[in-house]
Order: sequence, then C-alpha cells, then structure tokens
Amino acid sequence: MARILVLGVKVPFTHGGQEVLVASLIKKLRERGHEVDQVELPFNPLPKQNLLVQAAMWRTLDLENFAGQKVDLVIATKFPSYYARHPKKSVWLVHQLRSIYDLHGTAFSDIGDDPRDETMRRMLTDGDNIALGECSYRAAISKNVADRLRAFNGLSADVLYPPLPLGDRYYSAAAEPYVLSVGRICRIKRLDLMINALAQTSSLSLKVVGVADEPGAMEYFVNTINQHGLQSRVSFLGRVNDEDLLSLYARALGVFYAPFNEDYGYVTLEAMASSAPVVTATDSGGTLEFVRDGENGFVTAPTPAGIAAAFNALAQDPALRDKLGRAGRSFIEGSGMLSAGWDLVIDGLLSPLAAPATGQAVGA
Amino acid sequence: MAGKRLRIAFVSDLSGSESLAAYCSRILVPLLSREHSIELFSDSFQTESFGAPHFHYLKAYERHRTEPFDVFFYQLEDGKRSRFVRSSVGMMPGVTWFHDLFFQDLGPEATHTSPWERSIAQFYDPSVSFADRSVAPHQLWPRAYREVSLSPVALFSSRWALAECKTMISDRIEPELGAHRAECLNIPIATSAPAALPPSDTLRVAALAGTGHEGRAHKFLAALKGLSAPWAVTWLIDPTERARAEVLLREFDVGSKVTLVAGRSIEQWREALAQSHVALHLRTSSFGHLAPHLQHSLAAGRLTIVSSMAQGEDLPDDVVCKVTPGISEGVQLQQIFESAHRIDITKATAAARAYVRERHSPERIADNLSGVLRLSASLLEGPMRRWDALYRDARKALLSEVEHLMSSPQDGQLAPYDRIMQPAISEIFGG
Repeated sequence: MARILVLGVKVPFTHGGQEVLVASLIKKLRERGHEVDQVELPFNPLPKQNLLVQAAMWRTLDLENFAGQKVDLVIATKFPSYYARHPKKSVWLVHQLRSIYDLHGTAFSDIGDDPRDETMRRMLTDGDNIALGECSYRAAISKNVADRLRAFNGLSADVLYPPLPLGDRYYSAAAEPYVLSVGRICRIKRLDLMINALAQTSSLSLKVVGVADEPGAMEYFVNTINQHGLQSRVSFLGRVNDEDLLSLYARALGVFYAPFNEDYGYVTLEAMASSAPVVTATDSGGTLEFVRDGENGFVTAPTPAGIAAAFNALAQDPALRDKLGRAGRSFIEGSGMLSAGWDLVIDGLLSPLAAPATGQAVGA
Repeated sequence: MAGKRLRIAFVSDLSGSESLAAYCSRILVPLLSREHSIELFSDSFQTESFGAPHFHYLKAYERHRTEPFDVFFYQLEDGKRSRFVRSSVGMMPGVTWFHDLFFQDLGPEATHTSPWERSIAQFYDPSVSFADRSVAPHQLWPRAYREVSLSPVALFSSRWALAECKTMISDRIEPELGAHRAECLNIPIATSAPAALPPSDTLRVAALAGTGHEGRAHKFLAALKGLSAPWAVTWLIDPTERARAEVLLREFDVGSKVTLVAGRSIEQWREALAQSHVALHLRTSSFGHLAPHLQHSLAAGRLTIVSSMAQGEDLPDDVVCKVTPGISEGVQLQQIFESAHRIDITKATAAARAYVRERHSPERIADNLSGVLRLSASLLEGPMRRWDALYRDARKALLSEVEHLMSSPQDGQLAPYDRIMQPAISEIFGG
C-alpha cells in the first residue's frame, strides 16, 4: 500500500473531464488498497501574468511529508499541477496550457505577439520543460496530448487512455430522433456548428447536456438558435445524473462531438460504448483516434453542411445507425476502456514506486 | 555561390497542395541545403521535410537560443495555411518573401490587438517607452502593413506586389526602419521539353477560373460557344464552387464540352495542360492568385491567355496573349481561339518558354535567394541583437508585474514573494 497524492486543478464553478478523471483515479487507487488524497488549487488565468504565479505556487508546495508521514508518490494531471516538486512524481497529462501551444494563433488563445506575451510563452515553455522533464513517469491521456508534448517540449510519454467513468454500465436502446451533445458549453466545443447544422435537418431535435462556463457563450448559442427559429427543437438539460446520462446516450440517434483539437474526449467513448454513432470533425484532435469515418461514426468537415449531412444519413437509414453503433461498441469492448483498463493505467502511474528516486523519467 | 554556410530558420507552410509557399519550399529547400544548414518551421508536427529537419514554429526561438540562426526567413501568403506565419513574422527580424500583399481576412485573432507599431517604434528609437498593456488596438487593415513593417528585408514574388508595396505600404512605414529593403524574387519553375500537343481538330483549352465575376468564366464560355470549330475545355475549380460551375454550364448549354475538375493543385493543372493547346488565366483580381500555374502554362508551351490586369500585367506581350476585361473581352477571346487553330503553337510559345527559363530557373532563384540571405545575415546582425534586448526588457517588465501581483494590496509588502515565490520563479523560469 502506498500513500499517494493526486494533484488536481480546479477552476471554481466549472466541471469537466479533468474532474471526472481525478475522481475516477482516486476511486480506483483506493479500491486497490492505496491511501489516497487529493490536492487541488484554484486556477485563475487572469490577468495573464497570473499564469507564472500559479505555476510558481505549485512549485512552492512541500508535498513530501504530512504529519510526520511520507508521501510515496504524487500524480499530477494538468497545468500547472505538474510544477509540484516531489522525488517520485508521475504525470498523467490531461493537457498543458494550450493557449501557448496548440491553440497559439487561434481564436481560442489570448497570447498575442506583444513581446510580453511572447516572453511569457517562452518562460512557461521553459518551465514546462523542467517540470515535466523531471517527472519519474510520464503518460498522456491520448496520443494527441502525447504528440503535442513531443513536438513542443521534446518529451516522450506513454499513452494511457482514461477508462470510461461509468465502467460497464453503458447500454444501447432503440434510437429516437434526437442528436445528443454532451460537454461544457463554450466556444471551443463548437456547439454552434451543431445548431447551424440542425437547421439543415428536417425533423431532428438537439438535447444538450452540460452548463455554460464561458461569459457570453450561452447568449451566443441562444441567439443562433433564435436566428434559425429552432427554439422548439433544442433543449438545454444542464447537468444530469448518471442514470439519465446513460439513457440519453443509449436512445440518441447519434452524438455530436466536434470540439476544436480536443485532448481526448470522454464523450466519444461514452457514445461508442452506448452504440450511438459519433459525428466529429476533421480538426477535432483526440476524437480522431477513435472515430473512423463510415465505420463507427462520421468524420466531416467542420461545417454545418458536413455535420447535417452525417445526421441526415443516420436519420434516413436506421440500419446504418445500428451498423455504426455496433462497430463503436465492439471497438470499446476490445480497447480495454471499460473497467478492465484501469490496471494498465495504475500500473503505469505507480511504476516509480518500484524504482529509486532518480528524477529521471521511467517508462516514458 | 561559395561562402559561409549559414544557419537558416525557414518559416513557411510546407504542405498545402495549393500553397505557393509550399510549392516554392519543395523546390528551393533542397537547393539551398547544398550551401546552408536549414531548419524548417511550420505548424505541423512532422519531423522532416525535403531532407531538412523540421520543427513546430513555436520551437523556433528555442532552437535559436540553443544554436543561433544567422537569419530568419519567412514565406508569407494569403490563406489559412499561412496564418501562423502572419502571427510569427515578428518573432525575430528577418527576410520575408511575400506572395500576397492583400489578405482576405484580418489574420490570427491574437494579432488584432497587437502593439506592433509601438514595439517597432521602441526597436528603432530606444527613447520610446515600452508598450503599455492598455494600448489601443491599431487600425484593422487587411493589407500586409504589419507584416511588411516587421520585415527589415522584404521580397516579393511579383513586380506588381513590389510596386504595390512601395506605393501603398512602404510610404507609410515609420522612417526609422532604416535597414528596410524591398526587391523582387521570382518564383522557381522547373522547365522541361514541352509535352507534344494533342493531335486533334478540336481546340482543347485548360482553364483555371473561379465562378465569380473575377474568374471571367462567363466571358470565356460565351466566346467558346461562338466558335465554329469544335472545342473542349478542362476547367479546374475550387471544390466548393463545383455546384455553381455546373449551373453556369447549364446556363450556357455547354455541359457536354466542359470537364470540371474539382481541385487546383499544380499537379492537376499540369495534367490538364498536357491535354490542351491553350491555357486560360483570366482572373482580374490579385486576391488569392495561383502564381505558379501561370508560369507553368508558359513553360509547358501552351498558348497562354491572360487578363491584362493583376497577374498578367507584368508579362511581356510576346509571351502571353493579353485580353482587356470589358465589353470587347469576348471578341478578343474569340479571335485568339480562332487563331489558335491556324498558328504553330510550339513556335509561337518559344519566347514564353525562354522567358521562364531565364527568369524562373530554380537554380537561379535559389542562387538569388542565397545571395539575399547572405547579405541579410550581416545586415540583420544588429537588429537581431536589439530585438533580443527588447525581449529582455519585456521579461523584466513581466517579472516586475508578477512581483506587483504578489505584493499585498494594502501595504505593498513583498516579503512572501521574496521568501517563497521568488526562489520558485527563479528556479523554473530563470527570473
């Protein structure tokens, strides 16, 4: 049995994949008899200079001993938790500060060409090189995240896909004529693509699970709905409990999930486990590691027309929905992403416990 | 050209099938690599291109810090694939080869509120204080004003663009840009013996045109429809315009004589040229031009018809047939089409092929570029040092702001920062 701290980063009043991942990891570690606790600091990226402060705050924490008892291992997850110092530090990288890496130069980054912004980008890249380079073990939650780490920081990482949060509980049911969207409601998830696409479908409705966590996002999406006169066909369900979520996945004609360059995307896998075909986009990043166009879902251009064509095809051909859904479910069953996948994840993350504390990455 | 082997940071789109920057890179990087050590930077994760090491563009500064480059070379054109060049062109003063001077959008969002004018002012005049974060957004301008200003050495792939820059942009650049230079560098075209013309009584035409007014499709379709001799067209269009092109063909009732090809890569164009007697480049706008296609038409020994505006404006009258857009355009086109049947096209296009060989030979262009880079490496030594100093000042300002953030708002005490945060910041950020 080991004493382990899982390091999380919390943006107050928001809830997303990272929170689910941390909670699931803690639960699974405890089930295996480890003593586990969570260390979480609130994250505030504004003003921008605060990013340096937040990284330094994690660096100042002494996580080696508490109440005279040694902490055997820390497991960091996302920026800036991996700045924490510990002789045995694993990272299961959810993502780095994306605005200085893959989102740089896009509408989703506020890092411009002001010399101060560029200087900060360079400093944080240097900091990441140190903080991630010193990890005893590095893994990423997807190939996409691992590829970014290699390209931007020259660091390798194993890929450990997070198993599905609801394990073996996903099921399928007869399709109903609605499209499901699950996730935080913000610009980068591009719900507007689906709303605009909905206007190009004849009778489908859209059910949206999740809450807005970006100023102005909800207003923008509601305006888009109003422009198309789709008020009666779109429903915002907010957060739902696990049973309702499972049922929504099971009965959906298909699931829309086309964020810009997603890290991983639980939603993709949850939909596939529920035999609901996923419609994603060619620039959606991590989802493309799982969705195969025309085999277990659709990969379309990131345009309303492309998305609409995919859902129209599903609506017009029930056999197609069943075929793609079955292929998705079959992929999940063979992937180890149901409950069994946790052994692989935990073996990797705990591997530093078997090695002397060298400060050098092992297994990556 | 012998001399010191330069370390060159080559920042460019490298893979777009319709990108002029990628096309030029494909030809020039292997030639330049004979004389220089080139590292390529683009927005993809590949590790090698055209035999040279490749990195993401965000790694360029880190590579420079590890082993300094002698010169930064940027290739910039309109279009999504070169957006990253627009945002990174000011990363280090360098040589920029402009394929476009006008942009169809305002570029990366992060540059919309860029304080580049103040940065440049400070760069050339140290007495100017550093840009305040509260700086007002500069005037939005879909011209390459910012990009040219950030390029101490500017090259242009057409004389038109060079002239345009001098009259519309350079005049407005701050006079402090002392080292600023601008000249023309032609794009490289590899020539070979032209493919034999298709033996046919049918006049075969390859057309590269959009369906909008500027593409002039309505003009050439009408002119061809009026021909007495048989004719056929291979028309390359943007895939998104296919439906509109089909409507046009129905309107003119010429669908059976026109083959639509969705895509405009240089390979597709060469294929179309091989089957044609005549090449049509009637676009009247300078936005989004497809430069190498026109030069390939000349090199291929095809009778090349251009608009007297935009791309065709600079070409000598003996290498192309120019038509003036307007009321007589259809008549002019019809006359050229009729004459194509009567003349020896191979003989008539000899001057065009010689023109391309003389002005667009890849070896010559690579030599010219190499010369510019050598000259610029010494010219830019000082500016690169001073640009580094600008960033050192920015770093100091940033760390001072961090200190301020950590001090108590009530008493301004820095004790927690000094004792706890400062060592952490020094360790991880070297502050």
